[in-house]
Amino acid sequence: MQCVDYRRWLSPYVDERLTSEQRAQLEAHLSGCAGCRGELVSLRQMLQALRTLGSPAVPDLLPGIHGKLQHPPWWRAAVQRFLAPWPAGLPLHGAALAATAMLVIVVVHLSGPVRRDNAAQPLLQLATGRSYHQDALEDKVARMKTIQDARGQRAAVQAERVEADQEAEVAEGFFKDLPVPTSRELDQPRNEVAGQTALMSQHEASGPGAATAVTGLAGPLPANAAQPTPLSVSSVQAPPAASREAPVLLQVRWRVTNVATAMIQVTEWVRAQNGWAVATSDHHLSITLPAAEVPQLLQHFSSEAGQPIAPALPAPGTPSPWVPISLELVPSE
Amino acid sequence: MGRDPVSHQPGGQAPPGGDPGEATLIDQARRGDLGAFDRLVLRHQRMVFSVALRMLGDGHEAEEVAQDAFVRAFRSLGAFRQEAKLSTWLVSITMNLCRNRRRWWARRRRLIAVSLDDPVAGGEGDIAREVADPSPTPVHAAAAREQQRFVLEALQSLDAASRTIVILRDLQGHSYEEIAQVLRCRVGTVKSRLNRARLRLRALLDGKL
Repeated sequence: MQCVDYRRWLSPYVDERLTSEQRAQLEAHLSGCAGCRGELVSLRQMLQALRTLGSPAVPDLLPGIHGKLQHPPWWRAAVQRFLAPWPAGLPLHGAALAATAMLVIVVVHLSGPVRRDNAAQPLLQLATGRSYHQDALEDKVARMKTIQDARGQRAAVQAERVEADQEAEVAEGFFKDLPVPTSRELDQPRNEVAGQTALMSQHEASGPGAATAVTGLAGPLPANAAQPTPLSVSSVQAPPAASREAPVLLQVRWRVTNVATAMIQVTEWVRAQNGWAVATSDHHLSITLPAAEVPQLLQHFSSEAGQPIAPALPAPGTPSPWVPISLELVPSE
Repeated sequence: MGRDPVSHQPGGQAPPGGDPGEATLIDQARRGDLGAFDRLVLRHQRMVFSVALRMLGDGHEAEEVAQDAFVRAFRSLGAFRQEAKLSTWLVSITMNLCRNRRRWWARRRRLIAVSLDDPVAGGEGDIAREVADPSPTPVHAAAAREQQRFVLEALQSLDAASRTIVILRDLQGHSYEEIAQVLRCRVGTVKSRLNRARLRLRALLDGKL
């Protein structure tokens, strides 16, 4: 053993934690090694210095402990606060909160069918102190970059789009021969409302904006949806007359090659029509659109499929200004 | 191995062997007897406060943490198994609270330092009386106080693991087995950690003692 090994024993040696054999071995080494003896002296000197710190005078802890024990732990306090009866002032606070909420709602509605972000502009400015237009401009620039990237991809598949358009014309001819209306009732037992939906699936073989064919109404996409197929309306039923005036939800499914780009495109378009488009997932848009704009939406993104959806729209003159639309973007195979 | 020369020195608190009254007091406190718990506090408050003071280096913080440790102990007495000594269990709670407090300081970038002007803040006014070899002259007393400052500073400069084990062993006088219980490690680990911690502390105090 060398000195470095013996010096590891010094700490247990001063604590008398060595075995008798180890202690004898170490002491034999110490008798002949001045360096290790110096280490031992230094260690003992330090331990002595630590002991000189002594024991501090202890303050009386009991009053503080009793005071803290009177307060329940935070989790119990939270539970008690939750379960406690409402304080007398709470109705007033609740009324103030409700009045504020009502004021916000009224202000938003008075501004008319404006874009949601426009309506929130004053609040955003108040909250952040940042110019709304500056935010909007940056947002717009980011979107334009994304669209430009998508354009390069679109150009590469332009030839396939032309072919798809031709097939869409065939589908349109078939579509015009179908009996109108076509819609589907949804969720009647739960809502007790004659909800009507029309599930439209638009197939875009190559890129967003290239409508080709309606592949299925009121049902899941067929397995061969990648290929333009004739319109299938076998499960579509005419809705009750009452439900025509108040469509509950218009379900639209659109098959695209690039979901992200298509979502941006649809969102831009909907906002341009003073509608609201909110992405509830990476492939689904919840759209609220003025009823008058719905045919244009369907025409814009499915020029051949616009007619079958017509029964889901309010009759002319019906005061139903907004139509909720659920647009699902299905990536093509 | 002979008698442990460090354990249960004045710095250490726990009495050797089983205290016949302690188990009874624990049972009574467990049933909500605050008077019994007060007696337990009086028995162990010196040890708990000392650990907190040496770990934190601040008397007010140490008092706060020591109170919190007893409050937590009272509320958790139902979970205390008397396989370990109450003092060991209390030290474990105190160490955890001190560690949390130092982390809280670190998040707020609080300077962790020992005041050179008042290194015994929080009730160490009688420290001179407890120095092992009290110096007869003011010069020697001043030198002793200077040395204590160096030691306190060095303690606060140590890493957390080294500081913990040095305080438990060399200041509080706990045995290797008790430290192993507090730190939840093996006795062999305690031995190696203690050796390493002492070497680090000695390096910090090199030339100052």
